[in-house]
Amino acid sequence: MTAVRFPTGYRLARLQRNHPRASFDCGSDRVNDWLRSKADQAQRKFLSATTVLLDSQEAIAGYYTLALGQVEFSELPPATTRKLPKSSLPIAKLAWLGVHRTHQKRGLSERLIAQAMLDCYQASQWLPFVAVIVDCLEESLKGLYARWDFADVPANPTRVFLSASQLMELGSSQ
Amino acid sequence: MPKSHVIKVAVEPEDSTRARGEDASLLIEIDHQSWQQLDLAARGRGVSLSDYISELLRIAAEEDRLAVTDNVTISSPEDQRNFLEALEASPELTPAQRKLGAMMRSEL
Repeated sequence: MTAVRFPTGYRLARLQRNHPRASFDCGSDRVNDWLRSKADQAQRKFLSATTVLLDSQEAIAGYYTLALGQVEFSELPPATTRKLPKSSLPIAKLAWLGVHRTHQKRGLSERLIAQAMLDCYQASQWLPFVAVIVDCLEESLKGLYARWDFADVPANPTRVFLSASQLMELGSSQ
Repeated sequence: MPKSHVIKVAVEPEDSTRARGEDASLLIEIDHQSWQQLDLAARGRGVSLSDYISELLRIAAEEDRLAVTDNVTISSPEDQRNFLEALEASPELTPAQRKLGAMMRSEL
């Protein structure tokens, strides 16, 4: 498996400092601000990895950021502690995703989600985690992921997830 | 030419700087309007402008770090049980998820 297909003229790249981040505008100040001023710093500190979708003019049409994290359980039930070695479990996070206004309504966001899941699938072959959790930022954005039947994370109204076993199926099923 | 101000701000020293027993600082140049706003805010907090900017920088750096590394907490036993059961459930894909998988495999 190599990469998700994008329409002709688009290509994926790891975020670099010389990419034109300042002109990115997806309509959300928070999502714009992350790419414009924070994503590169976080990447250079090895806190996250950002992939950009470049158009034929080398402008940023979209992006997503992946990171590792943990699900923490407080007061874990005794029945559960017998089955698990820890009170926290490793996860992958789709922390940020956005598509530039002029490139919206072309199906790019769903392909960026697919590419992010593919990255997670490939990483999970070597670096295991129990789920991919998506930070949707706002409840109104959950629809983007509900469409793919991501499940709600209990008590986290802006987060949805896919289990690692679902991710394995996604990557390997025919 | 618009008036600007240069402010010396103390920052957390890098290990090499600390090893030499030296303090670390940044020189920040800001325009007059920004200086007025920051100075007003610092006075309102009762701290020096330099200390105020230093604190802003520390908070901004922490927010950046937390923006990608904050953990997900599930507190109630029932929520934990539901989440763990979902992790262990048979991974039967829905039609929508099969489509997502097909995109991942370059089939769509």
